[in-house]
Amino acid sequence: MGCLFALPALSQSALGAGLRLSPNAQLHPGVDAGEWLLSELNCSACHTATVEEQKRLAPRRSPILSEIGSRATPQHLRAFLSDPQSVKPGTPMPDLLHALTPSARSEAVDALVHYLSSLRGTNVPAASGASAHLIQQGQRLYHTVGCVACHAPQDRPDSLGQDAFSALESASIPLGPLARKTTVDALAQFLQDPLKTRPSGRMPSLNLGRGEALAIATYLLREQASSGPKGPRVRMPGLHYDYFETLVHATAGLESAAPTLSGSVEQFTLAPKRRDEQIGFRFTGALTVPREATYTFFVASDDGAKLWIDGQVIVDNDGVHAPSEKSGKLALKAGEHSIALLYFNEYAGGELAVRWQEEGHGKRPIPSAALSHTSESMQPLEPENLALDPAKVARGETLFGSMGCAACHLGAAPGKGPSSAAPALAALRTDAPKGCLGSPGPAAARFAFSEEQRAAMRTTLSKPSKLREPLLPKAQLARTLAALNCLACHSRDGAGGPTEARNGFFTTANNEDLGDEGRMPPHLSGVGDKLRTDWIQKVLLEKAAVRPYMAARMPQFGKENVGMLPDLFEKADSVGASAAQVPAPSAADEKFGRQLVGTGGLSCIACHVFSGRKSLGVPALDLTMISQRLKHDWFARYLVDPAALRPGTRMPSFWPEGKAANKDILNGDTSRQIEAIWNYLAAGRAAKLPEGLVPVGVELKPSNEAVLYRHFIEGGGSRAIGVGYPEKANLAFDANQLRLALIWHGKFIDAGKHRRDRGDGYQPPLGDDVLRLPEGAPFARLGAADAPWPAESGKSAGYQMKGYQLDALQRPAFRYTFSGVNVEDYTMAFAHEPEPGLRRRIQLRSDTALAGLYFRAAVGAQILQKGGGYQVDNRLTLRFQLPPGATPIIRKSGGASELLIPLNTTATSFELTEELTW
Amino acid sequence: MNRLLIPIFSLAWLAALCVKAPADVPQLQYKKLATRAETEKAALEANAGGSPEIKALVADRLDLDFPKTEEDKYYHLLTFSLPPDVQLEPGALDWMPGGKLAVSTRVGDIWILANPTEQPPLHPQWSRYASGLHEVLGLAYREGWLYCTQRGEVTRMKDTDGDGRADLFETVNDDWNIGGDYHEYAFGSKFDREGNMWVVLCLTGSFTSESTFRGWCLRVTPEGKSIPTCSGIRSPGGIGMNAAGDMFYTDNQGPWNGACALKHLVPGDFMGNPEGNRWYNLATNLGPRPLSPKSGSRMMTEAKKIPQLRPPAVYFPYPKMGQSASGFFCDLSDGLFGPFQKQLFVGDQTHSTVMRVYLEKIQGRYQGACFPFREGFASGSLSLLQGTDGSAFVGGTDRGWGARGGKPFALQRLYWRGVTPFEIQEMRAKPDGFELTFTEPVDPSTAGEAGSYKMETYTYIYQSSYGSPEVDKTTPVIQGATVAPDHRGVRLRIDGLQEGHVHELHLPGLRSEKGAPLLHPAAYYTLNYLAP
Repeated sequence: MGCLFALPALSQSALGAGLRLSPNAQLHPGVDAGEWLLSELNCSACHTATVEEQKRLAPRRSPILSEIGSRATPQHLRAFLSDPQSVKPGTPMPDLLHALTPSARSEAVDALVHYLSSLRGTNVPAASGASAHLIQQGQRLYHTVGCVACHAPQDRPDSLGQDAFSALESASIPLGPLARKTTVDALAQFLQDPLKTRPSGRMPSLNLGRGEALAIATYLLREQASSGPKGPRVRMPGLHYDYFETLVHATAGLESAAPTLSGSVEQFTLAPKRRDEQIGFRFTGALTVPREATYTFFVASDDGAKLWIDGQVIVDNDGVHAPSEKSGKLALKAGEHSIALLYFNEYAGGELAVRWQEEGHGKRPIPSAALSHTSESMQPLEPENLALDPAKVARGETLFGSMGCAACHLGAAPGKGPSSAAPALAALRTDAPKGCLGSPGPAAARFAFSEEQRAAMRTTLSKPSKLREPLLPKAQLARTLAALNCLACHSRDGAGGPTEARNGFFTTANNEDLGDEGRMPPHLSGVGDKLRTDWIQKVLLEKAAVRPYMAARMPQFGKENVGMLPDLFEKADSVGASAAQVPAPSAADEKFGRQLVGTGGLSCIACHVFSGRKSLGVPALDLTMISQRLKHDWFARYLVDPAALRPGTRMPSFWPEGKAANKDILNGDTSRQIEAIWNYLAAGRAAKLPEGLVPVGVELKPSNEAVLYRHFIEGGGSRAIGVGYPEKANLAFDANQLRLALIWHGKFIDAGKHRRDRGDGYQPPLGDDVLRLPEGAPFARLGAADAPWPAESGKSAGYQMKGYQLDALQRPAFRYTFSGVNVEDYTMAFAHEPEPGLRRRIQLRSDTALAGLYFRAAVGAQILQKGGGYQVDNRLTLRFQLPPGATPIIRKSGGASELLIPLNTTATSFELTEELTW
Repeated sequence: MNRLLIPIFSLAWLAALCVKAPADVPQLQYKKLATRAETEKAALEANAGGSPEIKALVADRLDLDFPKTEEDKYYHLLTFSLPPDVQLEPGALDWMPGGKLAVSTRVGDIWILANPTEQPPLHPQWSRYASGLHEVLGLAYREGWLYCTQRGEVTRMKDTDGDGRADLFETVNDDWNIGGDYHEYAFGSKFDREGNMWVVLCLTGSFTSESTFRGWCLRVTPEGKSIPTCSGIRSPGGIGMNAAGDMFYTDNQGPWNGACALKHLVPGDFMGNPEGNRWYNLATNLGPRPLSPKSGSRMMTEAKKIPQLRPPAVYFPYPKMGQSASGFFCDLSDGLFGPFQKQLFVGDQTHSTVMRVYLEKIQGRYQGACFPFREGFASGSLSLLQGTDGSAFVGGTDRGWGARGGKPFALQRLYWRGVTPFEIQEMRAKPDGFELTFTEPVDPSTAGEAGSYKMETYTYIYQSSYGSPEVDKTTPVIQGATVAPDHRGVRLRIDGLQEGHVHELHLPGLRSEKGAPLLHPAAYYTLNYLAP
């Protein structure tokens, strides 16, 4: 029966491209296509079937229309009933009104629209507002959680050509004109529980939370936000923002600027920014305070930010400065208060964090649940104001029964079930000229069959006796997998799995390192041999999931639709190993299992999560779930040759060809080792943690000489060189920007993060009083004394790292060059009260005079000359020894204070000493 | 030829040991009995119960006299004890003057092993030469300087005050960038004939190229200048030269890499992964940016469209041969390491093995075969280096990726016992089949029987997603096997060679003249180009 249904484009008929049902149905060799269509189209609703036939066909249940009036707009119902195929090409909904005259047809449609619109139930959908944030979130969810396994992606990805994309669209279940059909709230309710109105499970539940469903619904109806009629303003979660691309030096500069972009965000974030420098944000909305109390608000920013509550400035962290935090306190009554924040960044690094603290509680970010704003509500497109006419409603109700709608759509008009005069299923003549398969007469329904679909049904109906035989388990399995489109995601016995065009939409939620195993749903070949029946049931009916790293979700299809699958898999796949063959667990070997799993053995935890704890590397499946999920026999076979049972897996065999790689534990006895692991893991989460799982800190302690640590250091850059001094003052030198980046007191650094596992991420200093020193080039030639400090640094500013020399106590003298100047930058620590300090000697040598060069010693909101030194933001004190004639300058530049040392010398060398205490 | 030949059961070996070992090594009373247990018992009794040192000596002799595996009969593995609390995880190895071995570690140390050839290694003399470096994955000594490739730069160091520790560290080149991603590794080679060091730079997160030149090979000249050399790199595991001095690196299975492979680096070439090609604007010495390959295609199909694309010289079929190809060396010992002169010995981190590679040039391009060689290393093989005595030093780590060996790190030495294993020595492509040579004369009746051989071919999908199954499988017909007059070779005539496919050969029925089966009866030849 070949590829009848995936390639409807091949069979363009007057009625369109055929019915678009499960796009992968053709992949099941065991499925009789005609029979499957009889089931999917619920033919036995009109053509009476015997009990045997009904059981074999297990007809798909049609949507329940009892509350359709609250979900679908009159304008949509009118268009759809008038011509189902033109509104939703490929819909299995037949045209029952095709034989009426145009005027009778439009009268019938009108009556049906009135009737269906009157079916509202008690559910009144809420208005929902437009939100750029929700649309973005919905776009991501729609394209990752699994929607596009059956439906078409909304935009053509770069990887697909136009032809491939069109082919993909026509091999997808159509969504229809949703923006005209429904509202955000109604669609979101449907997405959260599709089985409620569509009990067939063809549209399964993806276990979406309310917020997720709302986001996808807002995304799918986004046209309503851009071009639809606007409804009354409604409250939306999060904040409204205006984003500016302009150079300002204080927040006041934004007041008169025009925003580049506006939208909404969940909370205070710079995420919508399109560049890093010369930008600003205005956030506005309402803050809901849970209870009356005194609240402290904290705003940490680089550069400036200002926070208003109820129109009063609460935190003023304005001006150009390095990252710094300020706070303000006020008493707030429970309930809603207006909140606004202005932020800008002039040059270089920008950041913003807004937190609050209720008196007596911890400091934390303001949760998005406490933030809201209003926006215009989204309304369905092309609205039709329908005043329900009781006469038309009654007429529609009659038609709904008499035209045959009620045959499928039970529950709409109770008691108005099929009163069909259609021939019984067994009596159907495949060549009836006026039947559904022919040129339908008034009594028949007009389906948009393709020729292939028609032929398939004719073939099946020509042997009606077959339909009375019970369906064998294998065929039932194949039919179920076809009907529910399981093969869109899973392959089984070499068929199915994501098609090439859809492949790219299967992504990892958080871990690319897992490769395809981190993004592709597992294959189902032999799944009944692999998984315990009760586990399959948990996956199908109880939302059990063990692959949190996969973005696609295992949907829930409903017990009536998949309840039989665990048994069917067991029957189809079981190779006969029964539970009785499992040797009794031997407690004695458990400890060897633990050894094997840990770092001293086979280091399974290098990749596998254990009892919810992170592995040392990638987050592969949690080992403590194994005995709940897997059959013992499969487990033993899998460990010996993983690739045989899971082609392409990166799980290595530790018993290649059955021989144990580890000969030390249990004398390298393969079956005892595997048994020991099984026994150990059988305890599930109660299993004692294996060795090597709990991270151990590795504090580097300078004792009698300095210790260097060259790695990713938070605040010091990707090429940081940390130096810990025995005096307990420490620094990090940034070898990208060639600057002193961090200084801190006390403990030096914990090297554990980088020495364990794969060593990912930046390590912060271990000690206290961590000061981040300004980013950017340390030296610059300024055209004029008031010229702004250049934004470029590092290689782009002509700086080049040259290395370092260690003195006898391992203290480095860093060497670097810029514009023909050689710099040696050497720091030692010294005892000082109450905390040790650092003394830095900088020597410059050049072939030409150094005049015109400046050293930027500090940047801060406030720099004061005090007692022979300079105090930066009340935190850092700098004292200098300078050659005669060199005098530090404090200047305002870009809203901040800078401490510059002019190297105003005609000499070709210069030496300064800088003492840092903090 | 067998300069290291030591008769296994000869007590002359003991004399040799006594000469080599420090004076405080006790004399060992030892006589081989029928079983390992009997011999051990007798030896410990003869040596008064045995001090820890005696026990170690006895264990070493027992290992020699009672090989643990078939492979161990020919290639024996010694394990170095390490200084306490040292996380060795050797990323690179090189020789320093005076026969000292420099070992760089993941944690940023460089250790010196002063007596690496002590046998057995009972008293390893370790000292720390440098520390605080950033994950060194390349070491090369030249003219008083030890060069190292750190994540962010090539650095050279020197001990100027003679205290045994380096104190002067000079940045030689840092023309690439790192962004804080752990996967942005940098592997450095030894110096090529022009004195250049070749650096291969892993992609960001092994999928994208977020920092300058990630996914590239740069050459660093003796003057410290960098030359963009090859693009298309994904996730290297090692870099080195063959006997002709041509540069190769291993690249690991992943996006655009169907399986791990050994690849020949030729300046101007594109090695297959297009993520890093965004940096062609910084490589003005090279021609235009290559066309982007089409995902889902095959390597040789794309190679015909993209002139710069260089197909891998040898695939290591995944997971049959290995799962994480790593460092390698070329056997230049002129026979001290056994019968495989000038072949490459390539580590596999996951399998804790060393594989063997034979390369030939067909249509001007390197291709060839890989063979299993030695398994059972203590940790995941990563850095490999050959010594002047022919033995191989293998540094291992599990580094967040599990390895069969099971130990988190190790340094081991593999040496040839002087006994020749029965192995395929070389596998050469011929227009109508393959030519095999063997390390020992073959039994002409089994070797001449076509049924002694089984062959299957396959290739990989060349695609942007991770790895590939074996696809386009075929089963060529072995029409005949002709044994060479000296019984050292077999000419296979095969119908159905597949250009661009791996040809997997099994030789279960083949026997040596002495009736022995092959130690490793399998070979995997990457036939990118048919022999003319």
